Amino acid sequence: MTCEPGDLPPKAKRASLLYMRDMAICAVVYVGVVFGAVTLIRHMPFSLPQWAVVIVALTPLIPALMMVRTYMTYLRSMDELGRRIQTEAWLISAAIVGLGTFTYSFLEEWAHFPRLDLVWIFPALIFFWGAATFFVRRRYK
Amino acid sequence: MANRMSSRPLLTLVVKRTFRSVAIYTSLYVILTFVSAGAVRVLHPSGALAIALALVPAVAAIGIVRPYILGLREMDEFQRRLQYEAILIAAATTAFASVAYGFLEILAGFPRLPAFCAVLVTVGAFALATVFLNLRHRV
Repeated sequence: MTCEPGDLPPKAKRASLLYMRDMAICAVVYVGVVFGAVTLIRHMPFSLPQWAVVIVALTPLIPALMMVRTYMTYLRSMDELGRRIQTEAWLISAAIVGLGTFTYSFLEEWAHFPRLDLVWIFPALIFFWGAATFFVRRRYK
Repeated sequence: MANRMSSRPLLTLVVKRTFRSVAIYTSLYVILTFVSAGAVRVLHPSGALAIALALVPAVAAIGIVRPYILGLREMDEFQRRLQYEAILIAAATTAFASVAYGFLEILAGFPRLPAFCAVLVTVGAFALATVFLNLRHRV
């Protein structure tokens, strides 16, 4: 979504491919850890003590941290323009999600819309970052 | 360093103008929020009217972001870089906090928080990161 390896010089192309590979691994690990955590807490014949439930519930943060590390490595490999596009895209994404959640809170309270779990904020940030990257890149072209 | 010093008056002007516009629209946002909340309390609306009243403050919210993005493009490279770093820190903090607490809500039975907590985390992290980065670079 954020890189077109065909248009890039060899060094940037390599960084881009490494980024896509590492991010795919992180995504697979993330899904695995989430399913593992849910299974361990909800679908086991024994019940874990509360402190263990808290620890298991926080385990998806580990692959999320891996994703950030992968992204930061990729960001550092970019030139100034690439970094600028990425950070502008993050700004737009944070603005849309931030103001969107604020507005949605009013809809929850006043128009009785369904409650939104906080866990959806992260995917929303990623989705709008991807979309914003597409539009910001087009503007700089 | 010399470049940074010589561009300081222009930089200050751009930063001041940007934050003044953001402050005006933020005030408008707060006013519209109170007006909408008051209207909901008095009218007890339902359906389309309730949705419309909930969306009224969003008009000012768009006004908060636009001058910030325009101002950001006018800032010099150093100041813009500080802002970009602060944005990245704020986005990462929001992402982590929402993932962490979201799973604690779902799996560990922690109390459910309203969605607007995400924006409070974003704004708080952005403000702290801006102060910290400015202090670190002694602007």
